[in-house]
Amino acid sequence: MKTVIIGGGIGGIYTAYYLVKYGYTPNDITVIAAEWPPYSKHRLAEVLSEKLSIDYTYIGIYNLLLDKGINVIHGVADKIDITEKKVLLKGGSEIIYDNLVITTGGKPFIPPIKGVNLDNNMTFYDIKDLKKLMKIRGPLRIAVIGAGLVGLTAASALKRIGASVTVYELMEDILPGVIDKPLSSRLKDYLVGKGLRIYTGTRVEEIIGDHRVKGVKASGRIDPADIVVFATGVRPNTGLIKDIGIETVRGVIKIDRTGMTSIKNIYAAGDCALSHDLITGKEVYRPLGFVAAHYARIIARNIIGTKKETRGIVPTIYENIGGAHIVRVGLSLKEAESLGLTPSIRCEETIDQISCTVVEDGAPIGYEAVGFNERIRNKAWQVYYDIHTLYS
Amino acid sequence: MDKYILDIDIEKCNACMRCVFACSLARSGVIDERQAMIKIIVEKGIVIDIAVCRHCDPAPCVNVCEFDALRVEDGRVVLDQSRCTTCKACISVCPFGAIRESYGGELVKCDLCGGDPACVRVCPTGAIKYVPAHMVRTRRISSVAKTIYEYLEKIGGR
Ligand SMILES: Cc1cc2nc3c(=O)[nH]c(=O)nc-3n(C[C@H](O)[C@H](O)[C@H](O)COP(=O)(O)OP(=O)(O)OC[C@H]3O[C@@H](n4cnc5c(N)ncnc54)[C@H](O)[C@@H]3O)c2cc1C
Ligand code: SF4
Ligand code: SF4
Repeated sequence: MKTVIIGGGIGGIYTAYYLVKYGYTPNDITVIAAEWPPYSKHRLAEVLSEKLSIDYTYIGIYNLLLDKGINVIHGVADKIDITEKKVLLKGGSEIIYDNLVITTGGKPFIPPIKGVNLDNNMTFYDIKDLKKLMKIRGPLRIAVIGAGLVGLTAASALKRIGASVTVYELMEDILPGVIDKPLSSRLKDYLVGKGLRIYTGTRVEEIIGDHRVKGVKASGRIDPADIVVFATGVRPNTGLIKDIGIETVRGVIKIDRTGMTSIKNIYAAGDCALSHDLITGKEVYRPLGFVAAHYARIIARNIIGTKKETRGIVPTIYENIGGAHIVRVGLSLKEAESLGLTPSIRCEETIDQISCTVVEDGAPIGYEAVGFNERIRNKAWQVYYDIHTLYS
Repeated sequence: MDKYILDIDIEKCNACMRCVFACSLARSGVIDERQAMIKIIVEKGIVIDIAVCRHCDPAPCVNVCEFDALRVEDGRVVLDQSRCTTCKACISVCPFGAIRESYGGELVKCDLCGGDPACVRVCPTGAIKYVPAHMVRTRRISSVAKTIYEYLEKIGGR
């Protein structure tokens, strides 16, 4: 039985890892990877801000997997032939599979506004972006579009290496969808106090320039900028499976609780696929590393034959942004509402921390905290266990 | 053999930093606070926390790690750097703020030095002791905790 994995990111590498761990013959695994060695996007901001070598981003287990004898093709999968059960690679070669795992990840979304094709527009998404930003010298003016987790970590890393940074966010609050209003307001005040310029409720209308970026036009005003970094979200990278009959929802691959797509023996995980929310049981798009790894493990189990269904995901997020600790476990108020619940929120506030519990029918379904001192202690773990006890 | 863990008494700590330096030396051969697996958190001259792993049982961090990077070995909760991707899920659920970021996103947490913790050897006040786990529990928990989180709360809540 041959298993072919398309994509050597987190989902792909950890599918291979768990297969090997559960006893699958390493030599029967082939990873087709456009990028190699595999790295963790979770470390891009740290490596940038601390001016370290990109070696720090590499995922340590790839050497172990190579030593065990898995096969890696450093190349790009071009087509999948489901009747012949083979993958055709760019350049002409092909490879037969019994099980196929699609972990092609995502691609950064860039809003269709005027000027986005000028030089010095970029994203903060992969190792190429990191390499570009590592070359920055001198006090450049950088506009970061989007105040989500990626935008804010990028902004604070860029500020640390000496750039003058302005963040633009369309929504009224920063970290929309991650944390709710009382927390995001306090975090914004804190970050502004640290010298980050943040414009919320501000629509970027155009990137100004001739060949290169010269400025950003937002809500009628023009601010000068040398580089524009888009952190405006992720979309699934599923061009490869278009037209082969795999069911998708708005371009995202639908998978069952074993990680299998609508076609037998073809699995998918990570930023190209949907996942299941533990609390509501609903299918959601959560492009996060631990979601990719969760399904990688489920898929590996099912490929080796020990049938395993996931109960779903409880999001567990931590980020350090400019010295503030952001924690989110379970659902936020907004996400819960978007999933059809009618939650309420209870918050506690001190000088050093603001924390909120999201409650549905008297039971906790989420917890969010932002801390402003060195202490990271909070009650997230309680809510994490409560959710697992209540909903499993 | 009984499992040994660190017994922390914040009140006895005078922030001399010996444990932090010893830990960093033991781990990396240099004195560098960011490489230490223990952190003394001082605010306005008062020690408000000693952030170090309590080797919880069960351990929320081990439950949450999807990357197989945290596991229990002889009662010690250990972090395997080669498997960790710095997704930081474990930081979000650690009750003690005991997992911290070092350089380049590498995470550090206490591994009890394989059974002879350097911090305990140098602590002059007895703020950090290495004792059988049941002693930490019997002193702090009067009745046996019924649920996981009551248990965790009892140790964490002081
Ligand atoms: C800056 C940043 C910070 C983040 N921080 C966190 C964090 O702290 N915690 C967290 O949980 N998540 C975080 N995430 C999200 C996380 O990185 C992603 O969810 C995760 O990488 C998804 O894994 P994946 O395997 O689905 O995709 P990827 O890791 O993107 O891997 C997909 C791989 O497939 C390759 N590929 C695509 N098509 C083909 C093809 N046809 N042939 C061959 N190869 C192909 C791609 O080149 C890529 O290497 C962050 C993301 C970003 C951008
Ligand atoms: S949850 Fe924190 S304190 Fe408990 S074992 Fe894990 S790292 Fe240690
Ligand atoms: S940060 Fe590392 S150790 Fe912690 S949960 Fe993620 S992969 Fe596991």
